[in-house]
This record gives sequence, structure tokens and C-alpha cells, in this order.
Amino acid sequence: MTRLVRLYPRAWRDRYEEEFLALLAERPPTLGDLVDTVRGAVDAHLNPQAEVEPSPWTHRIPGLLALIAGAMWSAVFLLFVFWQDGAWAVAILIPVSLLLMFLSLPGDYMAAHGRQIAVALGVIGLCIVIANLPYSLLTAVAGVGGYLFALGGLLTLAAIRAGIGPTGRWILLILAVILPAAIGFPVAMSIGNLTENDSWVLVSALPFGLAWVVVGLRLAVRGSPTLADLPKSPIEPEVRAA
Amino acid sequence: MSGRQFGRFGETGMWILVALRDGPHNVVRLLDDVRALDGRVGPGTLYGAVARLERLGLIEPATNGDGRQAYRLTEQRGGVPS
Repeated sequence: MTRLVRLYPRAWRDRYEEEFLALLAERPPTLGDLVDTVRGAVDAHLNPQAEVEPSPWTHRIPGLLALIAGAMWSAVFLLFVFWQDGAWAVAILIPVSLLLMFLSLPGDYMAAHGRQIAVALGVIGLCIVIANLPYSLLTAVAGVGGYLFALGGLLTLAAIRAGIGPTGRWILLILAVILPAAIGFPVAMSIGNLTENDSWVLVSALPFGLAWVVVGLRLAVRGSPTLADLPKSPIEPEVRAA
Repeated sequence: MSGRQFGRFGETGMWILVALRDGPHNVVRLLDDVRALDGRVGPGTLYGAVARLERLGLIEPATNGDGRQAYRLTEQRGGVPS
């Protein structure tokens, strides 16, 4: 049934999808209802009744933060490679990029993923503890695992907020975090001195920044309410139950 | 209510207004009431009419105690002001 509802235009779904699906859950559709739903979708395209309300400019803030963070992250690593004195930029601006990424995340959408976020934070914390033990294969794995969970988790949350589906999120995660790490870390660890092989820095770090640029662009266009935009104490009119 | 605006949803729209004269209804009860008045009405037709009535400012959404989506007549249409 959810697939049929996807036949409706975006503006209609933003306005009515949730209550429409709730109605169908309580009144399971017959074959005639399914046909009627398709006819309704055709009508909604031909005679759109629901309109997309322009979102306030504050809804663009998370996307702009993500976009700036991704651009800054990418620019810093390019600077590092092509401008040999750019190590200071990495030291200063990468934490700033990460801070902007964090700042782009808070929103009510996170409540639906609270358990996953808590588990991810727990895993990251455990990885940090293990990675700080005396060096061994376990600490190296924990270091890489913590890196993957932290950066992958940040990017995944931003992608969820930007409305990227599960398949798109996995593609993004593989291309921007997992694959670069799989290529970059072994090479970096075998070389031991990144400055001698700067290209590997780009291979492992640049895709992450570019992914944030893509997600930020999508999020900025789509818009998403920040915590400040949410109503402080929603008051709904009392309506008697049926 | 213009027939051109409502097309095949005109009759259903009228029955929705009749049903809501009793007061706000959640969408399940609204569908049941309209079906009782108008025979076999599908969810697509119901929402086609709801969307038109809402756009014309004749009905408006409300939320009932259990959080289910409900609709009521607007004041313009003679509904009770909240």
C-alpha cells in the first residue's frame, strides 16, 4: 500500500500520507479501494490541491552548515596536499569542520533513531578506550572501527535528515567512508609517514568531504526544521474521539 | 462549492460537510459516515474531496485525544469555534 501512496505527488504526501496510511491500517483496502487510490493519485497530479508551503529560511541552516563543513573538509585536505605548509590548516580547520557537521545534525528526526544513535555512541566510546591501550592489533582495529563508526554515523544521520533512502545511504557510506578507509588506512599504516604520500590522504579523506557537500546541498534545498523551529508547547484542540 | 473545482468529488465533498455538521470526526469515522451516506466510497475519493474542501477553507484539520487525525468544519462553514 505504501508503494501505491508513492504515486501521489510530493506535496500531497507531505500533507496527507501519514493520516492516509493510518486510515488504511484501520480500514484495510479492498481491490476497489486500491483502484480508487490509484485514481486519486492521478487526480492529485492533474489537479493538485496540496501545495508545498515555502519553508522558513531557518530550515536551510542545517543544510548550509553541512555544505560549509564538507567544503571546508575537502579544501583543507587539498591545501594539505598542494601547499606543503598546510599542516596547521588541518590541525585547526578539521576540528572546525567536524564541529559544523555536529551542529548540522540536531533535529527532531533523531528521536526516531535514538536507539541506533545510542548504540553507535557506545561503540565509539568503547573504541576510543581500547584504542588508547598499549598498541596491539586490537587497538589498531578499535582505532579504525571508531573512525568508521564516528564518521559513518555522522554522515548517515545527515543523509537521513536529507531524505536519502537506505540504499542511497549505503552507497554514500561505502563510497565516502568504508572504501576510502579500506584503501587509505593500510597504505598509510604501511608507509608510516603520510607526508611522503599525500595522494593517499586525498584518497582516504576527500570523498568524505565531498559526500557532505552532496548531502548539504540536498538538505539545503529540501530544508529541515531545527530544534529552535519546533513548537515549544503544542496545543491541539480537543476533539472527541469517534 | 463549484462543480468545476470538485468534479467527481463533488458528491463526496457534500457528504463530508454533512457528516461534519455533527462535530469533528477522525478520518476513520469520516470514511464510515460518508460510506453510510454515499455507498462505497474509496480512500482516494475521500481524500480527493477532503483536499478540495480544505483548500477552499471549508474544513480544517484537528487532532483528537488519541492523536488520530480529525477534521472539522471551519467557522466560515458554520463550525463551532474552538
